[in-house]
Amino acid sequence: MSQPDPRFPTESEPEAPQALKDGLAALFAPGPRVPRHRDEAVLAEARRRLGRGGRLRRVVRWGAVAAAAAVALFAIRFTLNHREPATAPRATRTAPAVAKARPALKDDINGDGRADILDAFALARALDANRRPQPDWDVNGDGRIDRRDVDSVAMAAVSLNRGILQ
Amino acid sequence: MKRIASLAAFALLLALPLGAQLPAGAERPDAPIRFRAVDVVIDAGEQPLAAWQFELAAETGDAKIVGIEGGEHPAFAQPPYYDPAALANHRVIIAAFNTGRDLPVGKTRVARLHVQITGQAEPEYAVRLEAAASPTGERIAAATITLAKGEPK
Repeated sequence: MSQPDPRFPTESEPEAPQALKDGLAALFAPGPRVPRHRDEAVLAEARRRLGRGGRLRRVVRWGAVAAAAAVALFAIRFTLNHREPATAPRATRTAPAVAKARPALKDDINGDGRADILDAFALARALDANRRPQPDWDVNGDGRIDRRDVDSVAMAAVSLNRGILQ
Repeated sequence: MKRIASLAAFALLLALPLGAQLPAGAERPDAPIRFRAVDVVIDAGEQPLAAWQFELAAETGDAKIVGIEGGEHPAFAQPPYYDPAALANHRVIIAAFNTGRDLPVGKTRVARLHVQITGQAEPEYAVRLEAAASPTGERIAAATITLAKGEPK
């Protein structure tokens, strides 16, 4: 047990002023009582707002996940599309011939149901033989039947818009 | 918010290296470029060949058609018909005819294509004979078509 220090007599301990005591007591005293109905109303409003915020957060979170997935899929697809010619046959080239629509047969000069170089050949032979011209031989529509119509038929036959190895 | 930012950053990191790759058709400075001639030969058998048409496409590899020549026989020595859009493309339809009497018989090279190849892969070609006809315009059903690749330049 320690002994009281004789240099500081206990009787001479200074007292705090009463105003200070009252102020401190008021500071740490319990606050005014909130009526129960108001307390519950505040709690209900807080729950409502927090609940709505939670839904919003979920929407934003899943939206971000969906956006990230979309970006990743787009990037992968972009890369695969541009790698394809160097690595794999083009899928559309394997399409069967019947899948390709036949061109309009206005250039079918020889009447075999196809529009190809043999139509130009038939027209050229007809011109060389001075056969009587047929109205549908004026392929380019310039009012004359000549070598330019032959070229028009031939160029239509080799147009890249037709063919099957696409 | 931190989680969202992390997801966005992850997606960006994933997308950047994939999207940064050059398309196959684009010029790649590091990819070797070479040129090769491709000869197209038609064998019409015993009948004189007066007209022909074929379609050719590079099925694999990065190949562009950069030039088209006529054939070896005088009847088809002139440049044939083709769509100009076929140049710088991987596919072409080529045709020619001759109404004269001096026509090739048997195997004859009807055209020579010059192809630019980018990259190491050797292109594979598909070719389809669409028409071959005699001087009277009758189809030669027995005609066949083959390709012969020249040495790269």
